[in-house]
Amino acid sequence: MAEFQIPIKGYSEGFTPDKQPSLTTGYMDNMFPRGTLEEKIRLTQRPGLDKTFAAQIGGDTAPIVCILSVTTVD
Amino acid sequence: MATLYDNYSGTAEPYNALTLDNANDWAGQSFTTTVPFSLSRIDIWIRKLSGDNVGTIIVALYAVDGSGHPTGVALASGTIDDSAISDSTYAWIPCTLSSAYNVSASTKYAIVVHGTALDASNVIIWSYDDNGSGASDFAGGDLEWSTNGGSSWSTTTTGDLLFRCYGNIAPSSDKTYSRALIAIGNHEFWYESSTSTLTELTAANADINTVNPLTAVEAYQKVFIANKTNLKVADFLNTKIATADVGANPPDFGTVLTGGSSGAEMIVDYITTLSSACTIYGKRITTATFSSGETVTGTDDDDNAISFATSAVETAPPHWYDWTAFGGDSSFGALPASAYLVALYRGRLVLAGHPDYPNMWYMSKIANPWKWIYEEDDRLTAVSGNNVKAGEVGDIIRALIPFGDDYFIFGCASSIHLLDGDPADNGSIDKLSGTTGIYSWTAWCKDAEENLYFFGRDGVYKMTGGRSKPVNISRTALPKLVLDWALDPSLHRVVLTYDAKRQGILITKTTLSDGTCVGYFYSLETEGFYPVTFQTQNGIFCAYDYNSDTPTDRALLFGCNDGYLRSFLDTAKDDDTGASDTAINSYFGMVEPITEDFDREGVLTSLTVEMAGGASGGDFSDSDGCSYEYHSADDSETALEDLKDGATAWGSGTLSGTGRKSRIRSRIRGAWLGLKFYNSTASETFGINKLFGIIKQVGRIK
Repeated sequence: MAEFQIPIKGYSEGFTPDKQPSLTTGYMDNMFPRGTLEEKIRLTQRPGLDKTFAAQIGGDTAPIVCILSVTTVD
Repeated sequence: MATLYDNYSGTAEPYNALTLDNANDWAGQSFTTTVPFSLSRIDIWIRKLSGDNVGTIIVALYAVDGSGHPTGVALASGTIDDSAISDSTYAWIPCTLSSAYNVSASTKYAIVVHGTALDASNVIIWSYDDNGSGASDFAGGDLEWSTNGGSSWSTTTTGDLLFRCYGNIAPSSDKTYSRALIAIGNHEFWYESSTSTLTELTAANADINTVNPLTAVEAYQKVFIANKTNLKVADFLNTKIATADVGANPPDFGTVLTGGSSGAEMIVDYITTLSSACTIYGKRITTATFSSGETVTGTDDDDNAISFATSAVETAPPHWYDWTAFGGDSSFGALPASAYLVALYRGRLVLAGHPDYPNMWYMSKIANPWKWIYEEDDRLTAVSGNNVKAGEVGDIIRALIPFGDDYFIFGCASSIHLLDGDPADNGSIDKLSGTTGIYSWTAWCKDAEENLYFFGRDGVYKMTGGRSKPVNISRTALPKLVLDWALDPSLHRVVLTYDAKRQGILITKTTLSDGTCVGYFYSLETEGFYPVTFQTQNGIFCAYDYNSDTPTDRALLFGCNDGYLRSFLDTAKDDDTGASDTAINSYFGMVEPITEDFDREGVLTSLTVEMAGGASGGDFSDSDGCSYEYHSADDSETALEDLKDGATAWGSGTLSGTGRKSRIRSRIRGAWLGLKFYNSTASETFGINKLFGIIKQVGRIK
């Protein structure tokens, strides 16, 4: 019986595959060490991006270039 | 349970009666608070005439002006319905305010009562005592009445209407401030006008140019914006008043101004000119508000009398205006003509990025963003990178990174410099690195321990505590990162941001022209890199960890290519791409030896997978299924190449559900095994806990 180690330590292309650092892989995309399933360290698909505010700033051809917040004393 | 506080319950029955029989008949009673409390209910001793329908009666709390008359807008209000009022006897009729108001101690306020349905046939009578008729005078205030809907008031000093104020002194809220999100895009400035609602500050529209570099910083309850020649302020603190002629002695920074009629007071923050027509921004410190046409007075720093007339009623924030020296006058110095970098350090506003002087930095006077004149013998003075010992940094400044009030990093094109302390008070500048700079103003972030991460000449660097020599943390795992990304500041934006929830740094490269976005998540827990790709709508142009007042809005926000603010949502299995969602293409591969002797082949007779989530349902979140494929090769690099190139697999299949799956009878033969697990199905996610197989050794590799 042989266990194949899940590449929980992510992506590494600095070595040839036969010298791949432990728990890494040279082939991965959109996987996170803390993904969508519980808050445990486990290689899982990354969470999706979702709108946080309904407003669209300036239309669909204009990126948001700066975000910050301002605090005012009540 | 509300407690009775300030009240006048009458002393000499039968009372006198104040009759309201017109919508413009407004009655008021001023009173002076004895203690501070949260006023939540006002009871009034009233009745109506038999058979009357008085509609909705409004009961409101107002500030008073210098003459004791109600003034400004209502501080709080509530209503009484006709049905609650007796048409035969007087009674205490309660009015619960729509929101409680915290009254101050020893402060005079006025209770005002009126009704839009009142007329000669529908009448309210509010009783009052008159000490001229034998009652004791209520010392805290007087009867007020208006016959023109509150436009002007008269006082009956001997009269006192009967009222009772209820409230409590228990802490109603620990909240002492409000935080609002700001988002800038498409030459527009948007702010969170109420919880979770963004509203455009229309005065800013097209007054900034988001095609050009732009940065902004919060300071003094305002947002200061550097957008090349557009240096702007969004002011969320100050009240604005205007005059056609500010007079011979304009107010100074910090002058207290008083409205002659309203009694309103403000502390001046900024004025637009020192003469003629002028707009004055200041923090109003009274509940009374400035009115139009009143004379405003004060005394300037040189003891000169200030006097001018307002040309309009005051305007509440937010305001949008040009960021200049105080009064726009050179006697207070001048901001650089152009800058695209702004930061706050030691109470100074810091600017850099002048195209003619790209290695210069400029700092305002401490605690005064309007004063840019250089003054000797003043440790608080404005300073710039050529007038002090801690001088120019000698390289093109690309990022301004303050660390509290202690030290400041200048991230330059090819170097990094550290300003220690205050430049006007024995500060010093040292070069931390001459081998790497910082890619841009968005290409850095700090983690929770104030370690600095940035994208530099040869990848991702870390500076422990923000002031040690930079160490490249990506070179081993991603030796070709800079080469692969072919970064060009004219084509690409790099954004680094710290994800506190997932304990890592997200590093993205977005193509400016179309939003194509790739990147890596660097985990601080595993110290590993995880490639990510996003849809073009989701291309990340900026990011911000928003610590909202509203728990559900607290998130690491990404400013996306299509004008939406997005964040990672743990329950989201797809990416929102506007009108619809798009599946995430997630996968990982593995290359494993299946032989103990590399001169011989092995056979993987079976493969077993344990999917995440345990039993279906239950306490743990379940993985969806995934697909798999496996390849065989005599050498490891061929196995990896086959995975990447999509070569025909030896075998493939799908796994569904959670927990331990049935054995895959692979019967794959070779020296090396290439395994791939993937899922690109909408509304699905997957995770694998464990993977193991049975290997047998067979014949020689030919």
